[in-house]
Amino acid sequence: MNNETRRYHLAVWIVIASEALLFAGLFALYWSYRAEVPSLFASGITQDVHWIGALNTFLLLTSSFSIAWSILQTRNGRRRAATVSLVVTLALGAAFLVFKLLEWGMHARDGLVPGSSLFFTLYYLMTGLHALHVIAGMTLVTWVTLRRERDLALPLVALYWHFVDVVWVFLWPMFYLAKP
Amino acid sequence: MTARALILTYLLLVALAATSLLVGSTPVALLIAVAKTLLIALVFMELRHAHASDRIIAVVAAFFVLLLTLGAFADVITR
Repeated sequence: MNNETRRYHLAVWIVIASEALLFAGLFALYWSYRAEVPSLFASGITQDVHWIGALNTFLLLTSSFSIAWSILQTRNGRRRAATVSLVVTLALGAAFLVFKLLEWGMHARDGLVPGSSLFFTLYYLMTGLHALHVIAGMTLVTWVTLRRERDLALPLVALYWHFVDVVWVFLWPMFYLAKP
Repeated sequence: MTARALILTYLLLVALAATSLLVGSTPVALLIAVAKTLLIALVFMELRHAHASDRIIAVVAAFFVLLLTLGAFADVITR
């Protein structure tokens, strides 16, 4: 890795660290409220659409694999295979957003909107902020897919995409699995 | 990064996610999330082979996320 590449990697890691601290503030809020009113969170978790949570986890984990696979293909000089992997990553990201919107719609129909309870206010805030990060990640993946030269940009975009996946890895148990 | 390492990591991630569905306990679900994060960071994000400065940033960020979350949680449960 030359000095220029190293500098870019360092910059992206600093961005990821800043983003991690943004989510850390929300995690702190979630866990302190959950410690204070555990029953509210227990009932909130039972109201979430569990199959969508599990499916979205599978979609994002697979998208992390496909973007890592595209880096491997790029390094092996297989541009076409790398492009296919990137398009798969985009499709998985889009599917994640479609299911997220579907879930929000189902909640809204049941009257579970931001402000209806502390749990659902945090749910919309945190999953909404995460969805914005997915959109930002998809924009970057689209940009790198369309580039002729990807050697430098692709691993940097992939770092960000993996970070978005890691955030969801924690949101999933917090909002769908772990009952207080 | 090899094809074998990527495929193995992906299969492990899916297996861990499936395990999460079976456990009802919060600490276990969070421990599984930490295990998945380590796999993604070390293999997919190539932190294993990253420069020391990148690794320091990742570890310090993780430490502060943990400190902030546990600090807020501890404040409420020790009142």
